[in-house]
Amino acid sequence: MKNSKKLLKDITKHKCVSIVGLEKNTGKTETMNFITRNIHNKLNVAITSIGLDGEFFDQIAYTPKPPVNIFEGMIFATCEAFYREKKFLSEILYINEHRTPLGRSVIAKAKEDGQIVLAGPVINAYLKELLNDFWKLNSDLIIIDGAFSRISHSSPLISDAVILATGATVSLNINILVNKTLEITRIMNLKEYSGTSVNCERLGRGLYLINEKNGEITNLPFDSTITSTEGIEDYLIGKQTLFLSGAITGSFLRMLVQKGLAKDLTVVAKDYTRIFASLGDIERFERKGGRLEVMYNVNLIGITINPWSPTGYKYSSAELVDALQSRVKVPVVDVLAEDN
Amino acid sequence: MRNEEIREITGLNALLQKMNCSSIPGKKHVADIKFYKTKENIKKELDALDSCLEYFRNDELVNKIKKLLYSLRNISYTLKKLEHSDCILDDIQLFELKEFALLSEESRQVMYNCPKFLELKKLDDVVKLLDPENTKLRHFYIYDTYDKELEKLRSEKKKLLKIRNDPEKLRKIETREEEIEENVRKRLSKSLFEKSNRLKDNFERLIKLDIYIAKIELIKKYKLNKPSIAEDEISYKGLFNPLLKESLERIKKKFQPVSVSIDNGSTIITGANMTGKSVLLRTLALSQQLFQMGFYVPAENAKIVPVDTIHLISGDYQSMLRGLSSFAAEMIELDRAVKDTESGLRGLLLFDEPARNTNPYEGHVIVKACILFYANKKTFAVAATHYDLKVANSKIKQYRVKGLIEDSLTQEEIHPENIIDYVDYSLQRVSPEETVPKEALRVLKLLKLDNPLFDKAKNILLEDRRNHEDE
Repeated sequence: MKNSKKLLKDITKHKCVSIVGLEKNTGKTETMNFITRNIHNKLNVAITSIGLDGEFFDQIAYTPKPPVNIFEGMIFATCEAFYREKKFLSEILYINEHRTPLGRSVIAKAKEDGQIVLAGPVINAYLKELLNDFWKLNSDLIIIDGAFSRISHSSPLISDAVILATGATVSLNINILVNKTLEITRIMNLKEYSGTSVNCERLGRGLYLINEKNGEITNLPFDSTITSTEGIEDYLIGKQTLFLSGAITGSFLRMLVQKGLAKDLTVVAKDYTRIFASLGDIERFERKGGRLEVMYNVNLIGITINPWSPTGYKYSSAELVDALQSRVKVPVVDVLAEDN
Repeated sequence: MRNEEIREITGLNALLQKMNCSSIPGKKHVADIKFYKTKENIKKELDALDSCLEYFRNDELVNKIKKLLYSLRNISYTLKKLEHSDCILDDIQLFELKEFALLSEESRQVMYNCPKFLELKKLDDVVKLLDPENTKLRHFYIYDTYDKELEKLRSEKKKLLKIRNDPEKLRKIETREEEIEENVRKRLSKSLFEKSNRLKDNFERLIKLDIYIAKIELIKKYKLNKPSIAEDEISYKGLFNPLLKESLERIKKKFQPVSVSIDNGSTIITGANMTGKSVLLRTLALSQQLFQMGFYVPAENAKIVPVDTIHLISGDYQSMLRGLSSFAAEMIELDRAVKDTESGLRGLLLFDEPARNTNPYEGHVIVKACILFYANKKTFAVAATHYDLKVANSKIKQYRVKGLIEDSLTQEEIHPENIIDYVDYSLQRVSPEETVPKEALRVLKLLKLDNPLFDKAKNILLEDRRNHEDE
């Protein structure tokens, strides 16, 4: 089966899919357009975005970005300010009361095809509320134009599948681009922790030691791995599980290796967005007998590539797809090439 | 004391936070509930509450309305825009008004035969205007039915969008479509402008309705009762503090209600530490606030006189943020109260151990001056104090909190947590000549707090008494 067909088929198996970019301008919007164009006839699709993504002008690079395409019958949510600017006919279905600087979220149904700037809520709780509004309106599939990679909105609590958008903007060196993409793919595919049942939403910030024998959870006297963890070795004796609510950095993993603490140690992050370590650091940690896991796994179902960089450079689409596809199991799709 | 501060101290804000309004505008409006000063206005509010209580006896009706109110949104910005005859509302604002009109009509039908002041005006014409296809759905766009040409243009546009072979024509159609849509908005806005008074009235009434329902729920939850309006004596039978009562009940303890009557002029309340004087004063203030805001009050039976101002004067509560010593802040508040009185306002003045932060000699004098100053005023001044004032003035009422139950000292298991069980909080009329009870050391003994410092205090006291007797 062609990669693009396989990806589209996978998407329709889910209820809520987020698109996350490895960096800015990696083609999230094109990915969104690719999906909606192919699916809007088959399913009731609802779309929104996290915050300002999908705006006409990229807020960081000031390069023009393609607006999101809307097809007749599709449901979409954007802020009041952008709703007022749209040029196609649509029916307002509901207004969510949470105010943002750009106004409340307007949920509408397209009465004809058109284009719009999407700007949904930034706060997780409001986004969840908006998704609930979508469900109430009988949506079959919600697609969220996520933020770029490290921001927690692609976090598994919100969506049940994730598509990673990568592309020339990441690096003009194909090896670096491929390696960076594989690095994040690897982190996204980390095993879900299956030990003692822990309600990590209840635990506050900090480092926690989980005793797998009796299920006891101890809050260690450290704030995070970024501040000092001097003396942590006194707590990590024998087979242990360490849960970190915040970031896990490469230097933290290196420190564990250097102090000889990696053996039989399981380090658990909340989800992949909290891990800020290079592949090298993770692999070194694992070679020394450590395990890196996450409380919530994400379900990466595909990778899309944008061979164009905002500066005008273009990769060979086939070469890039092949380079990635040979290293990952999920389908890799050039959404711009598939258009033709 | 500033208005916001006194609302905080008496627990009024905390109590109002327990009001469970269904709508966002209702919740916002709770902070704006008026403090009425005239007998007529208070009576009107209390009577309105009565008729609401009568009308909303049926829980099913209440739930139905609450469900409707839940979707009431704040349309005040849109209504504000509609104040101008030449305004043009956009689709979002038209959506809001359509949703509101449908909600209002639905509520009107549910609230059949409701009290007159809550009666909603008919908005069927607004619904018809904004729902031309009679879908009864709370959705909105500029419908084809608004304009014959619009319908034609849109179907033509649809065809062109499919073929995509004539961008020039498409642009022309789009321009014309926009023009017509704007004209429709103009027409709709003008028509809505003519109906804006009804829209505004209904919006206000729905908020009022939300508040009344929340008031009723609060009354039921805290078992508040209707006060009657009196002319010159404030009297309570079974006065209790609703929030304190609630938190005591949570730990299986009882709040002991108090009966008290206060005349014009000065009233003195004495009593040992921990006998609930501060609570009593704050509850008096809270009850007065509730009464003048048209609520029922926390008492079995209450007769209350409306006042113009409420002052709570204490060295305890003053905000240090204002950079004043507690004594200075207290005296500034006293000054305000006196100025209010001098300007002819009738107040409720509650002194919680005034002037306790200065030296006892001058403090004593200040308190005595307060009592004597207010003895002949039409203001209600109530002072809780430790000082032996010995004011021989038959016009001044004096109460004493009964305090520690006599045989409690023999009890073994008394500790700070259960001392409440060994105190009789009720008030007893005493003659003004009676000396203030000296119970501080008894309380220490009762609490089984024993240390060399307290022993020293006891010895000094004994010596003092002996010296007095020698004289």
